[in-house]
Formats: sequence, C-alpha cells, structure tokens
Amino acid sequence: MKRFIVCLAGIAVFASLAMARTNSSETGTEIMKKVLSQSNWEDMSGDLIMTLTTSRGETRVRNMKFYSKKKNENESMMLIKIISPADVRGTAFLTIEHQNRDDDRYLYLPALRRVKKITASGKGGNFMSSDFTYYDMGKPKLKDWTYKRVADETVDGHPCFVVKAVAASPKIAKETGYSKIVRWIRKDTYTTLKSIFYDRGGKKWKELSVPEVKKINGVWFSTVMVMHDVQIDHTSKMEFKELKINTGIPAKYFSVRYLQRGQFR
Amino acid sequence: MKELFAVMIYFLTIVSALPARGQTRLGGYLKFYHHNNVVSPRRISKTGVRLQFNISKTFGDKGELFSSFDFDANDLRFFGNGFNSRGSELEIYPVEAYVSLYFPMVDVRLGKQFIFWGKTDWINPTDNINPWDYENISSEIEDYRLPVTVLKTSWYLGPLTFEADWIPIFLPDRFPVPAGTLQKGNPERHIPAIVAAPPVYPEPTLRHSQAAFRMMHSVWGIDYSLSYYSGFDHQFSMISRVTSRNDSLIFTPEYKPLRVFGGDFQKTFGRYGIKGEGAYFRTADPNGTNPEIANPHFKYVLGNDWTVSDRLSLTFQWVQDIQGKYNANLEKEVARQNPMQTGVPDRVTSSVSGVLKWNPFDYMTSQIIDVLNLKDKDSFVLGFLSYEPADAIRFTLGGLFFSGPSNSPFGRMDGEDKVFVEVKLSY
Repeated sequence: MKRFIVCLAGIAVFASLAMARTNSSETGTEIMKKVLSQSNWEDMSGDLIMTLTTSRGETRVRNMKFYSKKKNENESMMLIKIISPADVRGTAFLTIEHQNRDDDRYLYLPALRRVKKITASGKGGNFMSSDFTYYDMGKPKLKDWTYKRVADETVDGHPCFVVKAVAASPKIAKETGYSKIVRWIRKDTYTTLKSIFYDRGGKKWKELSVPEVKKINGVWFSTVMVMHDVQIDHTSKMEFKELKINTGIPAKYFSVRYLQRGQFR
Repeated sequence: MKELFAVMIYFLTIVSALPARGQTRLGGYLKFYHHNNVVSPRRISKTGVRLQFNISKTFGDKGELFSSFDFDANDLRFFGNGFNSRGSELEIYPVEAYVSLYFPMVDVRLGKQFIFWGKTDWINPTDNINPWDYENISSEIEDYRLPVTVLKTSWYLGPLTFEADWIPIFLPDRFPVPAGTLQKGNPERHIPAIVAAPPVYPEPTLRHSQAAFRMMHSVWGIDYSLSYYSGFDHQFSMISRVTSRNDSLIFTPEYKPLRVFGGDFQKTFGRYGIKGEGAYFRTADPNGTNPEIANPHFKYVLGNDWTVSDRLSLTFQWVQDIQGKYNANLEKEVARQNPMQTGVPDRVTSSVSGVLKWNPFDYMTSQIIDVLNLKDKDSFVLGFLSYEPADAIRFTLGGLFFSGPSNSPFGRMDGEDKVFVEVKLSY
C-alpha cells in the first residue's frame, strides 16, 4: 500500500483542481499532471455517507466520520469511525501510509475494546465493502500509467478532455486490478467527470460518475461519486458532507490511542 | 424486582449526574439465542433473550462515561443419567460500566471493563485479566469473556506506551453447571458440578488484589509488547485434603497465585501478516513438586494471516506448551493414584489452530475456528454462518464440536457438542 494517499487525496484525484486555461495542444500526460498536482490541502474531516445498491435494488447505507492528514506529499493518515448501522457502530479504522514499506492498518472493535493490526487485500481491495477500491480512493502515481489523449467529448454539457491511461507494467495492473482507465476531465476545472475502468483481461469493469463537485477553501472536491460495477451490477455512492479543510487536526489523533476513543472533535 | 429497581436507580443516577455538555449516545441490541447439546447421554438446552442497553457520554478530549447493562432471561433444561430438571432465571448485570479520563500523557479508565491483551487469535498466553465464560456459546468472542473491575492507566511517553492495571476483585472462569445449581449468588456456579467441596477463593484483601503491566512499542513496522501479570489462576487447582473427622479425602478447588511474564509481536506485509505471542507462567508450584498444582510452563503461539481476497482470509497458528520442572515419574505416580486424572500429562504439548473467514455473498459471513492437538489428534471446532437480511439484523447458525480419544483434552468433551442459533437486532 505504498504511496497510498487516502481518502482526501482520492477526492482530489477525482475532483482535481486548477482553473487552468484550456490548452488544446496539451498531451494526456500534461493533462493528468495538472489533475494530480494541485491537491493543496493539509488535513480534512467530514461525514461520509456510503450507499450500496445491489442488482436487486436492495440498498444499505453506512454513515461514517472521517479525518485525514497529510504527513508529506506522498504519505497521509486517515481515521474512519462508523456511526451506523448500529451493529458496527463505533468500529474504527486507522491507516498510516508509508512510502518505503507497507502501510499500517488498524481496526478497533468496540465490543472487545481491542485494536487489531490487520492485513489487507492490497490496493485493489474494496474500500469498506464498496465498489471503490483503496486505489480508487488514493492518488495514483503519474509514472504508473501511460497516458494517451483521444478525441475531446462533451459530457452533460461540459467540454471534456478524454485521456486513456494504460498500466505501465503488469505489476501495476496486478496491484490495482485495472489494465486501462479512460477518464473524462472537465476542461474548465480539470476535474474528473467520468471514468471507465477495465479489468486485467481488458473487459469493462466499472464506471465512475461525479455528479457534484464543490470548491472548498479554494480547492475543488468531488463531493458525490458514484461507482457502478457493470460486471455484477452493483453500485456504490459516496457523499461527503460537512467537509472541513485545513483546520489543523493534530497528528496525534492518527494513533492507536485516539482510535479507541468514542469521539474527539 | 429488587434488582430491576437497583438498575433503574443506577441509570437515573448516572443520567442525572451527566453534565449538560458532551454528547450522549444510546444503543445496544436484542438477541434471541438457543443452544442445544446434540450428543447423548447429556442433553442440555438453553433458550433465552438478552437485551443489552448501552449509554455513553463523551466530553471531547476530556473523558467518557460508558455503561452497558444486560437483561438476560433464559430457560435451561437438563436431561441425562436419569435426571431431568428445568430452571429459569432472569439475570441483570452490568457488562461494562466505567469512566474514562483523558490527560495529556495519561488515560485513566476506572470500572467494570474488558481488557484484552495479545496479538494472536483465540489463544493468547498474555491475556490473563478477563476470565472466560464457558457457559455461553456464541458467534461473538465477547460473549465468552467476563468483564472485571479494573483501574486501568495508559501512559503515552513518546513512542512508548505503558499500561498499568490494578484489579482489586478476583473473578474466576465460569463453567456450565446443571440447572439445579444455577442460583444467583451461588459461588459454585464457577465450577463444574462434579466438585463437592466449596471452592476456596483468594481473600478479598488489598494484599490479594491483582496487577498487570504492559509496555508497547513499534519499530520498523513491527508492533510488539512486553507484559507482566501478577494475580491468580482463573482455573482452579484440585487440592486433596484428608479430613480429621473420618479420614476421608476431599478435593477442594482452590485458585492459586500466578505470575505471567509475556510478550507478543506482529508485522504485516500487504496481504500477509506474521504474529507471535508467548508467556512464562510461574505457578504456585515453582519447583514442580506439588502434583496438584500446575507446573511452571511456557506457552507460545506463532501464526500467520493471509488475506486471500476481499471475501476470504485465513489464519494458521502453531501452539506449544512446555512444562518446566517436569518429573515424569512423579507425574505417572500421581496419575495412577488420582481417580480424577485420566492420563499422564506430557512435558510438551503441540497444537495447530486455524481461523477461516469466508463471505460467500454480500451480507453473508462464515467462520470456522479449529484447534487440533497433535499427539492425541483431538480437536475442537467452532463454526457458524451469519446472514444480515437488513442493516443491524443478523441471523446466525453455528455449532461447537469436540472429537478425539476419551482421555484427551477435547475427547473428554465429546458429549458436549452443541448447535446454536442466534437472532440479533442492534439499535
């Protein structure tokens, strides 16, 4: 889970940022560099509502509180506490990213008052049992993909660049589970409006749509994201509420000590 | 009824004492359960409903109040060896009730609480604060443990964390007993029915209180701790005495002093993890000369975790228990003379254990926990399947199975196989 930039960075990926001027001569790599390079938040907290919908239309809703803080450009920390449903209320996750070794992941089980260090199914593992993977939630490394710009398109009235990203190596494809990602990026905001993910066999796997982006403290964020797994017809919707940026969350909150506390802010 | 009033007064006191500031949360669950022995000659069934009511109030960085009460109404039926009985009881008891105070470098938690130590799964040599509850059969490990009253302090000194716990009141493991002896306040509820003499508990004095210490640290991604427990064995030793009146031999269960020096570690490598835990148990017979008290011994567990996929994870553990001061001749002689002992204990016992978690479908979870003793090939398996038809509602079907030669640890439990069903609604 090296260089896994947690939730907030992920928002930045989908939402990215700059109000840069559209340049029709930009290459795919240049466009993605702009998308990825402008995440200028230091810490973030808010509520996350995740709605999971099965192919039969059955819906489950998870309410969480999340806190995140950057350690440096490539490492961050994230704390998630589950508010509902009631049977898992109080369960908490702490992820501490490390660039040179595996991330530390801890799970707090409130019934036992016990903290467990947990293994994970890699970057391609599902984030909180949703259709988003940890990789989707993080900030990809530019060099992990080769980018090719294809013909521009207009989506929902927004002129977009279309960038096709192909895994730079079989290792990246294995880690992420994706062989190719096609992204539609708004020309006015350089935020991702839509993405299509292909599995390692080249088959269409998931579709991401971003129906809502907001500018908070000068930074564009995707506040609503919908991921649809077309292979199993399962959908996950993430809504971020009460987002607070750069409020000076102390680093000490991202520790096993605070993982066990009911509420600290 | 008196208990109910006591609980109400307790809650009213807590709620009225709560300062206006802070955040209050209510919650809990309602759980229907039934478990039934499946093998003759003993058939025991227990059916009940448990309501757990939790109230917590947090004060940001300052502290927290938490109280959790169980209201458990159950029917227990016992058939076997020509003896049939039926008992009903309503138990009302605090599961946890504590106050936490947070200071810049110290966290203090005082009250009835769970404190689990150790990094391995299910078999934790360093985990000696909370006794086990062998009466409950459940899919949730917390149902197998008994909370104890503890003054817990955690000291955060840079990268090091120290924990110092004081446990003033001794509480032993709880074993299942026939319904006829299930009377509230009966001290024998903590021991099997085969014991005739009343148990001898440690004196409830300051001198006999228990203490535990632990130091935790993390380096190069390896989390480790060193620990020490000074208290009493939660399992009794059978002490024989010849009575002066008629020279008869009486076995008395006594809870003997115990000191445990332990340590554990854990490291993860993406999908894989390694972990270990070991402890030296210095019993009340440090020289191994008293055959009625366990010898000092060293027990360790080495294991690995493997997250195969989002739906499947495996844990494998190797367990060894090595007796110190082992005298083979003495052990054989004791086994020959003691009618309650079915075999000669080995100097080294080796076991393997495994945990398999599999989610075949969304909202369906299955888990199998297995322990196999290598010498006698006797084993214990706990398995269950849970399904959540809606958020916070869970159905569970499970079983607990023992097998092996009749003189082996799990083989002796062969008639205790059980199946259970649970329906849990959380709120």
